[in-house]
Amino acid sequence: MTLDCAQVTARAAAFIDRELDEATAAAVAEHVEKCPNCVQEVQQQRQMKLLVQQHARRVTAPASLRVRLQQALVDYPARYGFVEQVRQLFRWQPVPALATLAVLLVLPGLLVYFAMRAPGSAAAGRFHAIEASVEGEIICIDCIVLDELQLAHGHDASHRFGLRTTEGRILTILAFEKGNELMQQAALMDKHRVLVHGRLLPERSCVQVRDFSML
Amino acid sequence: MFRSKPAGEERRRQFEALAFPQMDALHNLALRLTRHRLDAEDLVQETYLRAFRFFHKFAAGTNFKAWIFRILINTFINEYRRKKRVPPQADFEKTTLSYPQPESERPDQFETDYDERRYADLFGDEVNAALQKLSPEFRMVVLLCDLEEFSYKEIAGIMGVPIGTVMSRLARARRQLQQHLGEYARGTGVIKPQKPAPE
Repeated sequence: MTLDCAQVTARAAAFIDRELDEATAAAVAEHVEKCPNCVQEVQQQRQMKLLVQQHARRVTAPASLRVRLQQALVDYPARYGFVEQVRQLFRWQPVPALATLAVLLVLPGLLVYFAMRAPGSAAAGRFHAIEASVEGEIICIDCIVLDELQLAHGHDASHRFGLRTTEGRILTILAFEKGNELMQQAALMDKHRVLVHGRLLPERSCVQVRDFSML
Repeated sequence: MFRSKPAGEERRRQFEALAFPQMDALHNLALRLTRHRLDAEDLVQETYLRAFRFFHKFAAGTNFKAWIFRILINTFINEYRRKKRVPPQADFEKTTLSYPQPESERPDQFETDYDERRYADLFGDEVNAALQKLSPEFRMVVLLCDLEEFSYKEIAGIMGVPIGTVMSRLARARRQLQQHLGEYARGTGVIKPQKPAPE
């Protein structure tokens, strides 16, 4: 590679700053050896660099500046708005950020899901039911309760049957399937002791009769 | 739920660990660019706050010093333009002389409570005086190269110009410096008297 004076002059700064690739640096060096004008250009660039390095020495920043900067950085979050603070908050914590996002997305979904699901399946979903056999007697709820309240007069309509368990709880017999059959038989036969098998709904004090036997 | 305070503090600590070692260098350049103590400190503070704000954009493991110097240079240029109401220049190279000279309007005035001797050398001798005569872009490129010892590539990144521009600007800046220093340098024997170089 051979370079003319203009090319060498243009590369003089880069030459003394060691910013040229090897081949170009060698070409500049070769040219400079034979060319007094270019020698001067290169020397002047080098001398200016040396002068700046020798004279433009650094001053130490005042201690007060460090204190001021530290305070400015501590105060920094207060200088910016909520959105900025949230961004700052999650910038270094990708896991909580994703977790929050997931919760924010999933939570409304779950709420909507349960809200829609609840009314349709209230009995099955919300009340617990027990399959059980219960011994007791068929009674008229009105008669029993009025008696317990010590009110002398009888009730107006026909009897309403219930099952009083041996522990003394009164369960309403749901009026379908075997329930109706049980109440009819109890009324006809005047036989009150009974063993009922079925589904107990304790919170509603009801029993859904699946099967029964008179005792 | 999210340890916000420790996270913020951790971030600040990481930033300080990288940024505070550069304080002297940044302050020094700020002082040489603004030539005024209070402006220099404001410029450094603005630089730190902007750097902190955009700290997430700094790629860990890359050159932090070059990154924060770039922010200082950008902040200086923006502020300088805003304050002096100089419209943005399309061609930096050709318009370096269009900068007004704020130095002549406002001589260096350091507060009396400040250690003036500390800055006596900074602008006092001929070399530094000649340096201050350069336009801000020329002064920047010389200081970044010769004082801070950045590579051309780093300077190109810091100043947002091509490497070729760095090279030519540096060469021209040193030539101007040499003209300002002509008598002084020959007088002290740093430069041997020679016939002027052909352009």
